[in-house]
Amino acid sequence: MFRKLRQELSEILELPLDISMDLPKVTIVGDLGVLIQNHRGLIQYSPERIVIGVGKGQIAIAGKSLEIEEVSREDMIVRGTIGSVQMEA
Amino acid sequence: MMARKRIKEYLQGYVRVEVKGKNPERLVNLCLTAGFPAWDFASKDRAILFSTTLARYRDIHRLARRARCVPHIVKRVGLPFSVGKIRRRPWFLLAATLVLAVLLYLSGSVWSVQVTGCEKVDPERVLHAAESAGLAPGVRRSNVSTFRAESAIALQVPELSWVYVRFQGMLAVIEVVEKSHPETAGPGDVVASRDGVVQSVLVLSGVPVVNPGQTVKQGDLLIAGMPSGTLPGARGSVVARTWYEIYREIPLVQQSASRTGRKIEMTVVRYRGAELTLWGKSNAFEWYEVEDYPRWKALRGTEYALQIFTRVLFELKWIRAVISPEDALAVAERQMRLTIERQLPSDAKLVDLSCKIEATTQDMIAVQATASAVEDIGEVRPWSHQETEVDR
Repeated sequence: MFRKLRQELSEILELPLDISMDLPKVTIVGDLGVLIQNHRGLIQYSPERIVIGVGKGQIAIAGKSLEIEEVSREDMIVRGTIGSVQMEA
Repeated sequence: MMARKRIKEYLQGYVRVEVKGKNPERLVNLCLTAGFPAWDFASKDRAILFSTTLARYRDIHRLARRARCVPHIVKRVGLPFSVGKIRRRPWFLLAATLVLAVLLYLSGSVWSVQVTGCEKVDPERVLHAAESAGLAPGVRRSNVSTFRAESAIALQVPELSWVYVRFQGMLAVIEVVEKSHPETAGPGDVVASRDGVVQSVLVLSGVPVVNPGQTVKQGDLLIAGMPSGTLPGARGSVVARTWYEIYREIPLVQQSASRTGRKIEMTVVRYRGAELTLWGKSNAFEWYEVEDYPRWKALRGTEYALQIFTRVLFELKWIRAVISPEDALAVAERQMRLTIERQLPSDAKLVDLSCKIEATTQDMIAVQATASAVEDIGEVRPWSHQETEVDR
């Protein structure tokens, strides 16, 4: 209920949804890298699979030779051969 | 690990940390929450590797206990560690400095001196002269004056006409050119090299035997040398008027070739002297002129040079022209003047040329040309050994 209200309010005020609703923003650069903004931390890390926590759920990145090139409180840059990016509830 | 250039981190020093445990991801999250600088994450055998600054590494242990992980340093990177390594090995540093200093010193020295251009002069003499001016193997290059070395070599080896000293790295190269002397005959008399009428006599040594206006034949004595004198051989110049005669037949029917305007282009490949026509006909004309235009070359300067060129054949036709005896005489005079000028010595001067038709037939004329020149006819005829001994 509160979430829907926030969404509608954001649309009325023309605010970016990822900021107003605290949602993750995922940018995929071909199969070379993924930038996740507004993450909640690392859940699982292996060269084939990286699971990153986001507001409600998690993002699973599968691929080969995956590395976390840069990480800060809000942003995370994953490099490697990206196979898939999946949003999991 | 991704190769990254973190100049600031390199200067301050950073460590590569390996975290092992049940949940190393938790330590990563704690680091991020605490604001630890961390980069270049990699996973290996259930462990996580990452880089962090040297200053913040000690604080990781506290977080590691909370995450129930064990961190340990696998690699130390940066300037502080490099300096520490060098400080722990003073002899290595000293040896490296010493080697560098020796290299720098030796690169500024002359290691070898080379002489080029010597044919008759002994290169050792040139090297010896260079050494006297301070140019020798082992000397400092900055202490060598090339001008001084060149002057010393030129003075001490008078057979040289040109000296140039240059440095090629640690090699000093002395380039020289030797003097060339004209070959002179031994002492003797000056005799006439050809018939003529003497115009002037200039005696440098010896006794003149002929006077201006006198007719001389080839081999006649002109200036006699004096074997007992200080300058025994005769030397001098005897200028005389000389004559040349040439006979030539000039045909009255002249044939000349001129291009018709028709041409054929061929593409030819040439390899090791053999030619192969790629396209175009080579036997289209009975008479033709050839011009080649190179198009492509490979392996130039070797015996396997390959060349492709366009060959243009210009068709020719022969034009028959009948000329008058007067025109033929003019042609003959032009040709004979050129012939005589080629025959004359370089110091001779052609003063007169007269052509006369000796005979005329239907097809040709015979022309006799007489040329008059002024030249030095004196040449030294060396005395034989016996002649010299008898005179003495």
